[in-house]
Amino acid sequence: MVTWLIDWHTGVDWWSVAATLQRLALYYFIVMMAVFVLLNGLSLAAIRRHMEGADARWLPKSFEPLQPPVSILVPAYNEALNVVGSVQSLLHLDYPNLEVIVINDGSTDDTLARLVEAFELEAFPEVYSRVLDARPVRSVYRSRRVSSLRVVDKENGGKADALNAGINLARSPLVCSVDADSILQRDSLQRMIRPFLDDARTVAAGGTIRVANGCRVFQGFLGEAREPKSWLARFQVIEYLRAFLFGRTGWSALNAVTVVSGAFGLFRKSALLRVGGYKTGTVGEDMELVLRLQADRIRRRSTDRIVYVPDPVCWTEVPEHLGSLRNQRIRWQRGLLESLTAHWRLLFHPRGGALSWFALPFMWLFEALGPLIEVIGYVLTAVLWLNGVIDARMATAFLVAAIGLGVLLSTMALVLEEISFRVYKNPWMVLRLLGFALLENLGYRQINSWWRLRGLFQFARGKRHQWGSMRRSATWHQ
Amino acid sequence: MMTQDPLAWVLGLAGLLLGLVFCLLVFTLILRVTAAREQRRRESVRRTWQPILFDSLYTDSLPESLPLLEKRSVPAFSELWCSLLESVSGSARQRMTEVGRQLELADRIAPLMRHRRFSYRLLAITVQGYQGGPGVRGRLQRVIDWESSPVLALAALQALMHVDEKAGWYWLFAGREHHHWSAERLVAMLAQTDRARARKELIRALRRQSPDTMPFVLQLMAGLRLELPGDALRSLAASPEGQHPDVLSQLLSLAQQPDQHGWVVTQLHHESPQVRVQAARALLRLGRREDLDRLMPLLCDQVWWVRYRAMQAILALPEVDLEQVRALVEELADPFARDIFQHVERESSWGYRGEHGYLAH
Repeated sequence: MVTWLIDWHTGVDWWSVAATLQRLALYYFIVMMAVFVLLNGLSLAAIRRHMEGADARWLPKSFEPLQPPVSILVPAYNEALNVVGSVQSLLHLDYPNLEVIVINDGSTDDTLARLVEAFELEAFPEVYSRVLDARPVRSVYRSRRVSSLRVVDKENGGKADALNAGINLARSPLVCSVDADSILQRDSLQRMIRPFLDDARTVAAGGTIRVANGCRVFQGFLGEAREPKSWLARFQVIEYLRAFLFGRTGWSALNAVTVVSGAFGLFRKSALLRVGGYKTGTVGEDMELVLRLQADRIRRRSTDRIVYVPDPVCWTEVPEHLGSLRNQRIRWQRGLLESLTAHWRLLFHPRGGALSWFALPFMWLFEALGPLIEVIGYVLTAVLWLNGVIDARMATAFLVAAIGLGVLLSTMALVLEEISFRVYKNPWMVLRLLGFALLENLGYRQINSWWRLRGLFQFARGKRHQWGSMRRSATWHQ
Repeated sequence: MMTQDPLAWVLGLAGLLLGLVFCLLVFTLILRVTAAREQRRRESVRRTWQPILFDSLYTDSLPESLPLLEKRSVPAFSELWCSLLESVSGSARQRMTEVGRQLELADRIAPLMRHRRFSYRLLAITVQGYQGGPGVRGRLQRVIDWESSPVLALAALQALMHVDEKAGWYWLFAGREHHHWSAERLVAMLAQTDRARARKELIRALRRQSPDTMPFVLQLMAGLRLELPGDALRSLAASPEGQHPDVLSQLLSLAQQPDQHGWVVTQLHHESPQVRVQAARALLRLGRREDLDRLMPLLCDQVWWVRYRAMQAILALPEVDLEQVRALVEELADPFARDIFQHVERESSWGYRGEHGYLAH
């Protein structure tokens, strides 16, 4: 056996194996481009239709539905800086029937004290139904002044655990998870509720998240969308556009949504309870939950829908420091892998439809394993070219596929934004972003791939999760 | 092919993608130009027609002759007409409708019901509802029957309700079998129809529908806050279909009359928690002093909502003193009962109603 292995090892032409792998990486980029172009087509059609329906201001008043009650859940861990402003803006959302539940997940700063002071909270002998497991609740606070606000103080257990505690207290048939640092628009909830009213089969809806850095914020709501100052944030503007307008809108048209962002997502409470709420001990609790809802739909042979609302409804601060960005991307990659591996049975499930046969293979190939293939591709191209195994044309072909196609895809995302929402009014701003769509592929994307590869390795080593922290710049303007 | 010259191959693909981006940019430009032209047309229509439509609101007679409405201006005019029509009532509304009739708006916009643009289809359907006339009913029924979008189908149903309420009621139940309309939208739509008619139609539907549809009909009645006559409620409650927890809980939510009290009380110990919750809720409205003894055991129920609603009902009972309840709760020696008493007592002292929406538990 050993002799055979040695013979085999010495007999293999490793340069030719490497050249084949490099060629496979090239094919990989081409296939990825083709899939993205298809997704772009789907997104374009879906967004156009969405925009037409949203603009019908002449509809009869009776076409405006009754608005079902919504419980907004705000998990907060060490959010002393933002939490009061965030809660104030949530309480002023243009929605007639809502309650806000803030879950202080054992913060070590004065998050709770600030809330108590700002809203004149008092401990309340709250009794609630503990349907989902969660770390013990120390106390529930209410305000005589603001009857629609409740604050739950509980032991630290992570974001998923905090959300489960919030679901236990929620009294509405719909629950909305919102990050404490999210900035909403006054009509964000009105827009998000529409899929539930248009089609009663909808069990979850996610909204578009945009970059808040640089934007003007007025009384806790978005005033004017502006371009961030830092280069890192500008790159992320392009990234977010591509991820939300391209990917999620396209998958939504096929009822194959795999993730509803934790920053702003609306769920039918009965569906959440049926699948056991959020799973604790995972980094990507938002994606894991959506995959569990999809698995439940497939198992029950139900026609439930998980949809994506293309309107920009939530604005979030993105990291402007390399360290924070690195940690975020590593965490996201681990979350993605945890969710995908936990639900590997959904892959090519006979009843899974577009989710099992298109969306999940896409996630595995281009999102989960993508960084590995990309980094191997770059390294092999450089090594093989320097050693004269491949010629300059082949190396250039790889770079054009990896970088040039990326530039074009980013440009398409920007064009899609221009066709639809046009949140950046200034044409120079759009042109500058176009420049960043080019620059993004020359360094930023490669660094990102490296971080994601590290996330993949950390996942393989089984590293434990924790609340993500971020060095904040607060580069939006009050 | 690729093995021979990969660079040429990839460059070809990049060129293709560049072409796509270029096409998208051209498409964006076309959209912008089209939108600008539409806006100009809207402005022009508004300049011409707004004074005429305003005049028709305030004067008794309509102008002898109306300006020519060009085919391409029909959508813009219809948008203006619909917006104004929605903001007026009575004779002004009739005159506005008459203007539409003189212009044969329903027939002229009807081809747009098959237009590829969603907003045009929605507009055409809405105009049909406002205008009525021969042929409209059939057009709208076809939309409800064939349209895949629940939004367009619902708009057609609403329009049909305007034109022919009887047909509208038929299609509400027929259409619901393949469109997944939400109760919130249907309730909002039915709230605009004749209340007595709605009550009559829903009661009739209750009598002929299957057990699967009964909770839906009852939910609409609860949403519209319609009363179910005592005899109808009793006969439904006594029927085999009425024993289903979904039906029973909806029936309880409709119980308003004092003579239904006896029946409500018998449901307090039903095996289904959703029925117990609604029975306790009904006693918030119909409770009597003697219900105290019946409600007290529910404070030890394993379901939170049952304990909560029972406690609310107890505190709302006539001639029941808070201290008396406190003593009774202490006697129960059940921590769940004590906790829910504190909770609800504090809520009521702070002025909280404890209600959260019309479809709440």
